[in-house]
Amino acid sequence: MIRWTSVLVAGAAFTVAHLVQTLAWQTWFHGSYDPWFLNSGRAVVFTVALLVFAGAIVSAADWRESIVRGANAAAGALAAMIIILAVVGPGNLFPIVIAFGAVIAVTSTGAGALAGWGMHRTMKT
Amino acid sequence: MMAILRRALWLVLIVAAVGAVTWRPPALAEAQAQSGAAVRTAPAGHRVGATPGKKGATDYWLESQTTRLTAKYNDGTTAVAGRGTDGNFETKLSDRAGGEVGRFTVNRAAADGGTDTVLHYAARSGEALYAYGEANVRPTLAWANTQAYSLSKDGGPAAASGFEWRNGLMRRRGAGARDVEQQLAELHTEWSGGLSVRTARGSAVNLQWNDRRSLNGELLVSRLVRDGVQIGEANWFAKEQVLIWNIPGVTAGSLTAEQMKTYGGWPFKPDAEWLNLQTLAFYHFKTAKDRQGAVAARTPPPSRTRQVLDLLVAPVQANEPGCDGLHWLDGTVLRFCCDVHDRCYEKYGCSSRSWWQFWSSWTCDLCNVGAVFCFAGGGNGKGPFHPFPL
Repeated sequence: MIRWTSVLVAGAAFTVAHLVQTLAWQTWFHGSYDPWFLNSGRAVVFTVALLVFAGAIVSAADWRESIVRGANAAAGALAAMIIILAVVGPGNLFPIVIAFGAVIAVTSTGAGALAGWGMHRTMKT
Repeated sequence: MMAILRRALWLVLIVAAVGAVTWRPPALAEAQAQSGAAVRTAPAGHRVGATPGKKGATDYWLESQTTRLTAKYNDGTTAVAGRGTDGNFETKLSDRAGGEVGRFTVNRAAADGGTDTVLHYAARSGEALYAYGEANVRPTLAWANTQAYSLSKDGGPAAASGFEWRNGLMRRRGAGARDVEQQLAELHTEWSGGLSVRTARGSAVNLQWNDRRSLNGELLVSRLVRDGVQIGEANWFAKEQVLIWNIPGVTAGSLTAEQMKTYGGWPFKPDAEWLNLQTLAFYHFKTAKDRQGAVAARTPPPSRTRQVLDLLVAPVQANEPGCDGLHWLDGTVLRFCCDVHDRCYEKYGCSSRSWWQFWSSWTCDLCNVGAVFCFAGGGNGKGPFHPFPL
């Protein structure tokens, strides 16, 4: 049931989001601590948007597998998040940070997968 | 037309999903600081240091290391105050026979919004008093004991006349003046590192000191104990305003009212709580200085292997003010949970490794459990099961 493409696309989306945040942390995201998507409200919105987009893309590719692809995308985003968090420095609340991040990653990719499935069905009709 | 409507529906769903993830309830955002407020500047030459007679940061730090404070009063009442890992206090008041008279709790987070202190006194009779703390009163374990004892002697929570703040204590309206300090027979401070101090009240009669002077009158005798063995003593002679201390091998000396005249005399009225903390301070700061050359911690230079490891894992040990890795929530009521967790970690020397090295320190685990409980409860300090009595 592993769909590597979905895993990699969502993981790449999270990584790209983090790289953009690192490059424009002060200017776009008004960040005052280290670049990390949960350290700034704008960064949260940006990351969610990219993950929704990634979820929609992998889901729209095959609407019959939307749920499986959405779940794989969530796992990919979560894996990328944990790796990046380990690199930037987890801090003394890191399990709670991972729990928060997981909720956001799963919700975003799930919403994206749902949207992709819906778009596919809509275009078909 | 249907196709357009369906597309519009999915667009709405996407926007709703994004909004649901990024939206913060008003309760979470209410504590955010208002921007644009004017900066208050202090005029040149204005004294901004410590205020004589007011407790300073060092005193509060010393007090924060106290784990348990036991006060015995002349009428046989005993008050035992303990500090929880969440920063809250509880005092248990018992009578001469050991029967519980009442309990007094100081909850720094229980109020709506998480910023006020909530005081709760429950008497043996079952009657209870809930009150908000006074802004000018910074609760300590000694204050909690004094307040609990005072409430008990004022007749408990059932006072029909109501309560008022008087000299930093909640008193029954119309109650007569009471000097709780004078009714204190003994105060036992249990501190970190196996240290404790017990101060008892006594009296001196023509006690010869320095072959020149005899000391008389009220006396506070403080005995410093480490791991069950007495290692020092300090005496305060109230009438003569003289402090004498001797911790063999560490420090010995005296301070008289004459010497203090240079500084405008004793800036406060010494009491048993101060004497206990002062005796601990003599020992703690002097031994820290002798050991390290300075009171602040001095760490040896790390080895090369350690330096490489630090390069890799240094951020793991980092601790920032607020919610590390979740600074998005710094302006919300959840900030309280992070601050309590930070204080708990600092107090017990924990780091982020304590999360997975759970076998190394149960105290660190309690800090973590407290943080999870606090987050799950939405930062209200009551946990996720409030108002259920769990």
